[in-house]
Amino acid sequence: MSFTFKKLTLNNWRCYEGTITLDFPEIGPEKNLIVVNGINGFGKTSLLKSLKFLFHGSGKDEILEAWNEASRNRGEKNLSVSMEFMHDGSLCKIIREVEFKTRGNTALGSEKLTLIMNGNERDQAADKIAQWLPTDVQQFVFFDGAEISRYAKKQHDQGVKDAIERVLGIPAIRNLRTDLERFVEKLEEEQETLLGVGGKSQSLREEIDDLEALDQKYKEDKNTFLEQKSGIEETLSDLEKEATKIEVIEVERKGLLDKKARRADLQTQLSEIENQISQYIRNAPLYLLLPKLRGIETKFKAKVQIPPRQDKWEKLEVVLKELIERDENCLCGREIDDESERHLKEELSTVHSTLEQMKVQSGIPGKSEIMGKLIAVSQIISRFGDGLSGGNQAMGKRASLNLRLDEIEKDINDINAKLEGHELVEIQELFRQKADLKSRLEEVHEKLGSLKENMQKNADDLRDKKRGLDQITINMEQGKILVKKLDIARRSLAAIEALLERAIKEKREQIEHLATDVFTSITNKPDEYSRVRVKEDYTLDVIRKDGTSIDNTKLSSGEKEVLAYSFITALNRSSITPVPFVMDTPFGHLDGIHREKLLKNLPGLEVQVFLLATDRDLPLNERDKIDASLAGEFEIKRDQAAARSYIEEVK
Amino acid sequence: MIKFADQDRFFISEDLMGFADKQVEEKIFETRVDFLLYGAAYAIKNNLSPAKSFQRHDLGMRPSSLPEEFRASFELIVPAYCEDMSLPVPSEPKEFMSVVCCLGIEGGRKLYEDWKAMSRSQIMKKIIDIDSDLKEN
Repeated sequence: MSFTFKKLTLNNWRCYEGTITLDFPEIGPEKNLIVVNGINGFGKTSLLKSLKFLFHGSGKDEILEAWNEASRNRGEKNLSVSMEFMHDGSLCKIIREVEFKTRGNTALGSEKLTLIMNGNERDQAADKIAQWLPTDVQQFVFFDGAEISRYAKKQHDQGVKDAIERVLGIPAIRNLRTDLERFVEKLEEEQETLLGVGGKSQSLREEIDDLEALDQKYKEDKNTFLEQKSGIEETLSDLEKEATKIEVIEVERKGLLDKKARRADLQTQLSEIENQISQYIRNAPLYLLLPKLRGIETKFKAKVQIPPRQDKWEKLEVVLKELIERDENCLCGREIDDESERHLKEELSTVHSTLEQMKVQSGIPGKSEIMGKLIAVSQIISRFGDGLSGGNQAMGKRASLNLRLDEIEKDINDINAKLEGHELVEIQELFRQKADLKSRLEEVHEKLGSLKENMQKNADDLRDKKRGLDQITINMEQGKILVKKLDIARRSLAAIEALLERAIKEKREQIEHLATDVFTSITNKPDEYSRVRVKEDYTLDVIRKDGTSIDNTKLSSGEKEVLAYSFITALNRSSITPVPFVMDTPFGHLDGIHREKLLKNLPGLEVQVFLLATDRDLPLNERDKIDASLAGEFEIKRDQAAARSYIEEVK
Repeated sequence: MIKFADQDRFFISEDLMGFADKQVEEKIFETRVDFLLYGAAYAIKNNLSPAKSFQRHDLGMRPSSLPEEFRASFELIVPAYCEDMSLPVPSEPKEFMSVVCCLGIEGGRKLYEDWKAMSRSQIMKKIIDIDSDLKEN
């Protein structure tokens, strides 16, 4: 391992008052984890910030913030962070200190950076450090779990791309190419001097100048087209996002129709329930009268005990009524003539008046009347005797229907608000723009294709002309050696250019391969995701098994973290000098399965891995599982009375 | 047995007209007679005496428009109620109609006091809850 941290010293740094020293233990294969435990607010992020400050400094305001308050109040005027570490077999130490000068209520810090290698102070410390750990790569080394979204960016700045390539060792090849280009230029100048003015070489040189000018123009055109391509791709990507939103809106529009249908259904149900309730209310007087009706029923039943004489006369009245109403023959079979009928009616009248007198005397109505009333009362009681429980249920149902209708009404209003401003015309316009941009992108691709052909042809012409010039030179005294040198230099340059192209491609493929390995071993969706694609600017895409890519913004926070971790570890393994890896609140977004898989993966990294973890990041049972990989453990403690944090090694 | 006569018409007191109209407007009761009969039943349940002093307002509705069970219930109960309350028992239909309406006015006045501050839903719930009211009694 070529880069390992040995000792970190903080002095008056943020919540750490005075001097705090952390001696990091030696690490070995599969035993590379160093855990720093600390609950929220005790100083984990301050530790991470100390490393960022140490390697790359910080802004004026940040420095003031970093100045420990107690030491400041005591009148101490400085803070510092230093680290001893091994780099490529050398014992190095970086010290970054700040001296504060106060003027009135304001303070100003002046920063000093010192680099000591094998006991000797080195010049150009900042450049040397930036070479080991470029500023833009810092985010991939000092990993902040709280800022996970930035790791799933769609595009990196050019600075980040350059920094990543620096870590991968690409600039060394680029520098070699530049040196060779200069050497070839120098030799060509010598050739020009040797050939002098006039003659055939003059016209060849002029043609070469023209071809070189054309090549330059082609290169400029190429840059212009590439910029156009990048611009179109960016706009297309934005439109894709917009299209995704519109798809969501279309789903909402369909949802609106469903909700409206549901509302109509509920309104029908409500109307039926309202009718039921009205019916219950219309019958309410009967429910109120029920107790009295029941009393009357009991009373009538008791009154059915009619005196025998009254009962006999009542039966006689019934027989007479039947005879008259039969309108046919008498019981004996003889026909009832008018005279007999008149006689029967007189008899009935006498029986009726006698019976009425009897009823008045006994105070008991006749059997048929009592029966009639009893039947009426019983019917009412049996019909309404169950009370209004159905009404209460209907009222409950009505309340619930009203509630659901209110909810649906609110949903409908919300969806309408969302749909406002997304007219169909606008959607069509968006898809028209998309189609237009795609066709423009194709045009640019075509232009780039033909430009490439032209450039190749131009390069071939240029090479031929230069060979022609070389032929003239070779026949001159002193020219032979010069042409040989030129030939070697040009061949070397071509080889280096090919090497550069291949190195970039191979490094990207290597990162892609390593990131895919890590990602597919950690993700919870190994059957859905197939691989990670690393694009030209080193941004990432997750590719599904069906070959389609996923919009990074649609990944969950946990998935973004896994993706970021996959890239960072792949970058670390591909780096020419892998640096220690520091993770602050590393597993904040991860579920238990993701966390367990990631913890299994970490010991595989061939660098120190520092985990600045809360008990939530690393619960006790999970902490036990990494015991074998643990090289050391520290705990951040806090003296709350003195508002001071300190760190102790856990033995 | 005393019965409603169809030439007679229901009436209410002038002072209750506004309240009865409001009940109909708010669709608690379908007609003012529905409210009146509810008032009468309420009065009988609570042993109230028929109203005596009021300015009469003809509602124009005849007993034949009522369902049979309504007519039968009042025809059965009112004479017995009058007896129980030591009131003159109606002996002819007009008198009977008068007792029913006066009970309706008295009950309606009590309901006005109970319901005047309530919303439509609260009143409807109160009416429906009479079931539990009855069980309690």
